[in-house]
Amino acid sequence: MLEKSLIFKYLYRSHTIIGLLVLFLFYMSTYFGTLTFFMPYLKVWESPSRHFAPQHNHAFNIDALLDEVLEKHHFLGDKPVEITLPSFRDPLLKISSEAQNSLYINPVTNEVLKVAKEENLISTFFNELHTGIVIPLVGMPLMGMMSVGILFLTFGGFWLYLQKRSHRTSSKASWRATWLSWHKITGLAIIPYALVFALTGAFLGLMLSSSQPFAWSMTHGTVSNMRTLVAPILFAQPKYKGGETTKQMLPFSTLQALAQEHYPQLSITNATLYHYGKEGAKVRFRGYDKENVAQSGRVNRPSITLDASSGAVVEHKTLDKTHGISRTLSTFYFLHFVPDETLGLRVVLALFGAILAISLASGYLLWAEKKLHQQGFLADLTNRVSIAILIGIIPSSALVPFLHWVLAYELFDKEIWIRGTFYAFWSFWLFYTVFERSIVMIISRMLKSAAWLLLLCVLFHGLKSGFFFWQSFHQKAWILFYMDLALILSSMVLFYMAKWVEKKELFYRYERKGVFDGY
Amino acid sequence: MRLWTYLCALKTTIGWVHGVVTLLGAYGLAYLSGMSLSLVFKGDAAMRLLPSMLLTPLLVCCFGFWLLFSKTLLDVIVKIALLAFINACIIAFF
Repeated sequence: MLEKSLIFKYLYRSHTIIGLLVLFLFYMSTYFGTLTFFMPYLKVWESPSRHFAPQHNHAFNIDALLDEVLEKHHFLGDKPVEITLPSFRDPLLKISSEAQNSLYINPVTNEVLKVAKEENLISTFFNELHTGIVIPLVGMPLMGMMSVGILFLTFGGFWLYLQKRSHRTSSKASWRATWLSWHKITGLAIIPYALVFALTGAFLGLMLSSSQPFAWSMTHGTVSNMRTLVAPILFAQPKYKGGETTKQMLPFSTLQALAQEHYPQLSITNATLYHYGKEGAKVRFRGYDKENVAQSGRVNRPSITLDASSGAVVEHKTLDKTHGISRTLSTFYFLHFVPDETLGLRVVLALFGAILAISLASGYLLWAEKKLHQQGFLADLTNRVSIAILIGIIPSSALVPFLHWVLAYELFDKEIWIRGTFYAFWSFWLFYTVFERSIVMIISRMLKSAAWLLLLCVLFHGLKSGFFFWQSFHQKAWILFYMDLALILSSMVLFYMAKWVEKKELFYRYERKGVFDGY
Repeated sequence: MRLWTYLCALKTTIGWVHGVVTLLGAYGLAYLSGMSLSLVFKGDAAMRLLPSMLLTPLLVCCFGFWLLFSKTLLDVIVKIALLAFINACIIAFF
C-alpha cells in the first residue's frame, strides 16, 4: 500500500487531470440540465398554441368531442389510442396513436389544434445539448463518461478533503486559497446532488447505450440486445380483444370519475383507449400514486382498466403489484427528471445545479491560478478558451429564445437556422476571446449581450404572441407571466454582473498581452 | 531489461502511462465485473441486468482508485490481469 503522502499526491493529481478532462463537457451538461428543470414552463412560454389561461387544476371535458375527433382523424381501429391529459407539463390535451400524427385539443375552448414540432424548439434543443445527443453517435456515451468522471471527482474530492484536514494547516490568504475554499465549500455542499445526478446520468448516457456485453454475458452469448430481454418484463403492454359490433361508450368524464373512485390515490395523467366504440372496449387510466410519487414515475405507472361501456373494473394494477426493478428504476428516473414535481423542487434542484457549476468553475480557477506565472501562451490561451466556453455559453443560449421569437414561424427549416446560428455565435465568442486583449471587456460584453438578448426576447415574445407580461398578469396566464418575469430578472442580474466585473481587479490578473499582440 | 526497469520503477507522481492504463483498466475491469455480476445475480433478466448496469459506473471509480494507488506500473498491470482472469473464469464457467 502507498504511503499517506503519496496517496494524497496521487489523489490530488488525478483530481486535477480528470477534473480538467470532464470540466467543459459536464459544465455544458449542467448548464443546460439546470435550464431543463424548467422545461414544462419553457414549453408553454415558447409555444403560441399553449398561450392561454388554463382552468383550475387543468380541468377539461371532451365528452361531446371525443367520438367525433377519433372518427374524423382516423383514430378508431385496432391500435390503442393514447390520451395525455392536460397538466402543468403541457396544458394541451394530446391524442396520439402508433404511426399517426398527434392531435392537440385546447381544454378551455375544445378547439382541435395541429401543433408544429418547431413550437418546442428551445426546450428540445436545450435538452439535446444537455444529453449530448447533438454530437452524433458518441454524444450521449461521452456525457455518460463525463458523469462517471464526476463520480470519481466527488469521491476523490471528499477523500482529499479528509486527507487535507488531517495533514495540512490552512494556507495564507491568496486568490488560490480563495478559489480553494470556494471549490471546497461548494463541492461539499453538492455531494448528494452530484452523486445522484452523476450516477443517473452515467446510467442513462453510458450504460443504456453500452448494455450489449451484459446481455451477451447473461444469455451466454445468444442475445446481445438488452431491451429485448428486459422490455417484456418491465414494460409489458396489456392486450385486450375487441369485438366487431359497435357499442355505446360511457362518457370519458364518467369513466375518469369511476377510475378515480376505485383508485383514489391515483393522480391520472394518461388514458389509453382499446377498441374504442366497439364491443369489449377498455380504457386504461394511468398516473402516479399520490402517496409514492418517486416509485410511480413515468416508467412504472400504476393503472386501473375499466370496461368502456359498463364502467366495470377489468384490471387494477396498484404500485405493490409492479416489478421491484421497475420501482427502483422509477425512483432512479424520478431523481434525475422529477417528472411529476412542480416548481418548488425544480427551483431547489436548479439552485444546486448552479452551485455545481460554480464548483466546476472555481476548480478551473484554482488550476488557472497555479498556471498564472507560467511562461508562453498556453495558460493564457486556455483561460481565454475557458471563458468562451464557461461564460460564452450564456449569450449563445440567450440567442436561441430571441431568434425563436424574432424569426417567422413559417420560415423553412427554422430549427436548423436557429441551431446553426447558436453554434456560429458561440464560435464568434471563441474568436473574440482570443482577439480581444482585455478579459474584463470580454466577460462584460458577453454578459451584457446575454442581458440584452433576454430583454429583447421578452419584448418580441410580447409582440409576436400578443402576451406582454402585463397582459399575462391580467389574463391570469401565470406561467407566461412568471417566465417573462424570470427572464427580465435574469437580464437585470446579468447587467449587474457585467458592471461588477468591470470594477473587479481580480480579472486583470488573468490578462496578458493577448494572442495577437505576442507574449 | 529497460522495459522491466521502467515497469518496476517506484513512482512519486502519476505519469501519462500510469494514468491512461488506470483509466482504460478501470473501465475494462468494471465492464467485465458487471458482466460477471449479471451471471451471479439471481432472478429474471431485469433483476440480473439492471443492477449490474447500475453498479458498473461505481465499479469504474472503485477500480480507478485501486489501480491508481499502485506503487509501480507492474502493479497496475498485474492487478488488471488478475481481475480480468477471475472475471473471464466466471463468465466462461458460471
